[in-house]
Amino acid sequence: MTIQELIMTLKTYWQREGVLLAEPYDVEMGAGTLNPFTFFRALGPDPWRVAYVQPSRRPVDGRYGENPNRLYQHHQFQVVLKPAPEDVIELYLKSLERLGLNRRQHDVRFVEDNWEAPTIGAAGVGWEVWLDGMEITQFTYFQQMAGQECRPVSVELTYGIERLASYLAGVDDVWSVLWAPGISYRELFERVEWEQATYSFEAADPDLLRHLFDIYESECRRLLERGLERPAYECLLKASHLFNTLDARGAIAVVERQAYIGRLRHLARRTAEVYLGRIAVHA
Amino acid sequence: MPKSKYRELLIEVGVEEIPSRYVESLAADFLQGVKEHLTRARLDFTHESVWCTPRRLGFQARVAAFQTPQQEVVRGPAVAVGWQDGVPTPALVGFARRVGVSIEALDRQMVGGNEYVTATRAKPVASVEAIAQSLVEEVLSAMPKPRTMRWDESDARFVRPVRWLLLLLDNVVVHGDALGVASAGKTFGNRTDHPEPIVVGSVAEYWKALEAGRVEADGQRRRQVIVEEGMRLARSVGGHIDFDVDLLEEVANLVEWPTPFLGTFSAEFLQIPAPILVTSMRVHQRYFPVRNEAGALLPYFVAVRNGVGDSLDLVRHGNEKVLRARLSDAQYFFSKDRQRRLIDHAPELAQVTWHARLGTYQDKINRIKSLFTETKAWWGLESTVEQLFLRSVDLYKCDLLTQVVSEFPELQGEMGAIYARLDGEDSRVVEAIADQYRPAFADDRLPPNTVAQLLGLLDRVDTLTAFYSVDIRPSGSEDPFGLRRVALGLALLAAQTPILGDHTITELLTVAARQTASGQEVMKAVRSLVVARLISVMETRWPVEFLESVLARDFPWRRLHERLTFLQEHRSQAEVVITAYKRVKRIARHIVTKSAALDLEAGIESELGAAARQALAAEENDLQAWWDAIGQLLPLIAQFFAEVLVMDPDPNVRNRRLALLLDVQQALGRYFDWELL
Repeated sequence: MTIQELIMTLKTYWQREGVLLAEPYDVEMGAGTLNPFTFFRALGPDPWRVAYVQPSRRPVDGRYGENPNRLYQHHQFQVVLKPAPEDVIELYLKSLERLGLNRRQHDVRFVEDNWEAPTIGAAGVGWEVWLDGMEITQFTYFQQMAGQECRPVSVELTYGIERLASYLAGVDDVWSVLWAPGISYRELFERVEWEQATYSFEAADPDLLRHLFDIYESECRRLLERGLERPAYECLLKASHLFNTLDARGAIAVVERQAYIGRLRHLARRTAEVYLGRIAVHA
Repeated sequence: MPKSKYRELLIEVGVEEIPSRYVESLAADFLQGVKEHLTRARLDFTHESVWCTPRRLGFQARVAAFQTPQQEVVRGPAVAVGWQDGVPTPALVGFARRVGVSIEALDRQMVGGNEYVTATRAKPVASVEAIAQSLVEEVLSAMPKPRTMRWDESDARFVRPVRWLLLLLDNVVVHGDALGVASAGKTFGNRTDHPEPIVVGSVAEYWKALEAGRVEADGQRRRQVIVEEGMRLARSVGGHIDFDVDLLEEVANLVEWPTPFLGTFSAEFLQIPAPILVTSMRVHQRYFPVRNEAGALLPYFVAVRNGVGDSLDLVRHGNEKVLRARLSDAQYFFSKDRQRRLIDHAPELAQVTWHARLGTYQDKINRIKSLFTETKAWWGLESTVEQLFLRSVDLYKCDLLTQVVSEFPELQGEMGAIYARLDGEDSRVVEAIADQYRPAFADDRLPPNTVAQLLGLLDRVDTLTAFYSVDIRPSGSEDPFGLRRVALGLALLAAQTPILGDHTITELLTVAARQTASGQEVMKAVRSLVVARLISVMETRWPVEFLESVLARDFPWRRLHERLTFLQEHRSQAEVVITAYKRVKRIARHIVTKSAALDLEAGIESELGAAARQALAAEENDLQAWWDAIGQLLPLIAQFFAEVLVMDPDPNVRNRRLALLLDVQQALGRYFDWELL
């Protein structure tokens, strides 16, 4: 099964469960949770069901394209169901069966993992899902988003596409997986991985990144004053990615770290407040 | 009791995968909670049992068919209102009718100065069904719970979402609800083999359903299967498994029906140091490593799948592939690390924060070195050994900068030792790095050489005084930096190795506290933590009051055993000493000033003074000489109190006698605080 077939299979499956199929968001981010279709929609009382692929950048995980499984950028297939359906685990297991992973032939295990994203003040309770000993999905019941209690509780399923694809292809590393017939992951991303790792670890200019962080932070605040939550949130995403790059560059001292995280969390909380204020008025 | 008077109560709470580390404590708490609830509800029970798997929490007991009757007293109208001219009033008649008691059977009781009519009657009886209905909700809500969560609009909280509830009394499904779920006559098998609901109408059917659904409810039994089958598999390739108790518990509580299987990995990976392989398998993958008779790793592991399923081959293949990827990573990290010598990382320690308020590892290393310099004379090290010690201080945290340790933080120390050995460092340095966390518990192996013992000692002294100096201290269940364990290690090093020689922990802590610019308070607080930890590991072998009495004095702890033994041997004869000590101390505390030299009056004063001095002069480790001197001292104390008025009106005389008594007190209490016995 190629990666594109895998994605199409998951989309088809979840579409039948009544989810909206969205496209990836076009601002760089570290995880699918940061996509506005999750961040904003997990807040507030309205029901919501969405699925999308989100390219996720983790500068610190870059390995110059040399490691079999670690990448600067990987792809997540993200499903958010709000409220969490009672049979969500069965729904999830059936999605694996759709990929040819019959539960009688494989060992699927739910191993405790309580997820936290301090930069956006988010926390949840759930599991890593192990398929024959390999983590393939993060399964989380959101408890908090941007410091707000989630009511109702959303459940988030994050499939690691590269992991699943290399498993399904029966190969040890992601590079030989086919994205499409005749086109390997290596062909698409090997050079990009090298460039991005070189950028994150060597070429990035810490002073410039810090300066940009400050600019995006103040721009975010300014836009929030005017009630422009989406452009403000995009500034937050930019700042968050800059922080991750600075971190990979080794340019954030341990003592600074908490302060940076606190600044991001503050922006996230303010953004959520503006958003919740607006939807409360419209309700 | 005839069986018909009893009914079989069975409860099953279905939960989404409970974290394995909570499974056993939830079972214990659930059992406790249900028992307490039944007792409060006056429902007798026997044969109670509890079970817990990742997906269910169950309880069964034989319960009485009826609540145990109990009487209650109901208050009615005041006596003055109840009768008029000896005739019951309508109010009284109404009350008697309402409570169902005849007027002749009514009683009287004084309440707040007024006399009231009372009736004694049987309490209303709740049916067993009614008790069972409310039981689960109440027990689950009241149970002590680990980190809980919400999952739906009921806002119920539990460790993971509750998805079904089964309540049975014999062959009746009882209606009830708990945490937002209504009871229904069904259960589920394990997710692999039997995901569909299984209809259950009786207790007997429940157990058949679990069998059909391949659920082993008994956690002990799940472990047993893993051990027996795991051993059989290991033997099939000429090996065995040293079962790690924690891992066994975890794995047994990750599955409802354990199916162990054997996997293999390429023998090439055996070139990677064993601790890395073991950690990859055990911590990351929850596999049991297989070893040969000599204890060396074989290229096999035993893993456990949930349920039976169709075929183990795909599962085995998948697990082998994951392990292969992990071990390739480890091999890559290890070979990267080997491109530099361990000592080459030393300068980078100035960039690694130990604790935000306490600086970097380099700062810590500098403090340890200066603590060593200040105490150098204590250790009497030859210059070569001194160099080895300083080398070990430079090296012991360098592995923090290696890739293997950043991947497997739990290998800090162990990896450093491996790299140091490969770099050709002296074996004493290697041992010091390897054993920096030993001893970690009461009967742990002790660091084998002076360099290792000294590193362990000074590192811990620094850790404790540094944290205490910024007021980070363990309290109650809070001990985020594991300072109690650090204190325990320090106590054991001081008591069980010769490293401190004739010096005391108090002296060492005093020097260290000065280094962190903190004073007596920190020193005393750390000392009392260390003493408390020492007592906690020794109290199974010695009475706590012996330990407290001995440890109230400052002395080199390698003498601890000697002093405890002496106390034990003489305890039965010590009553008179204790009485004298308490009496002397009670009076001596009135002292105002103590002059250097006592100008004692001839007679009993001088005799007493001489005897006290003799007891104090006995050679430090000759407890018998001191004890003999105490024998001389005791009659003189009695004589002194009989002949002399201590609180003499003349302040000079009074003060002199009080000072004398203080000497006597010190003589009596030289080795033991008798007040603690």
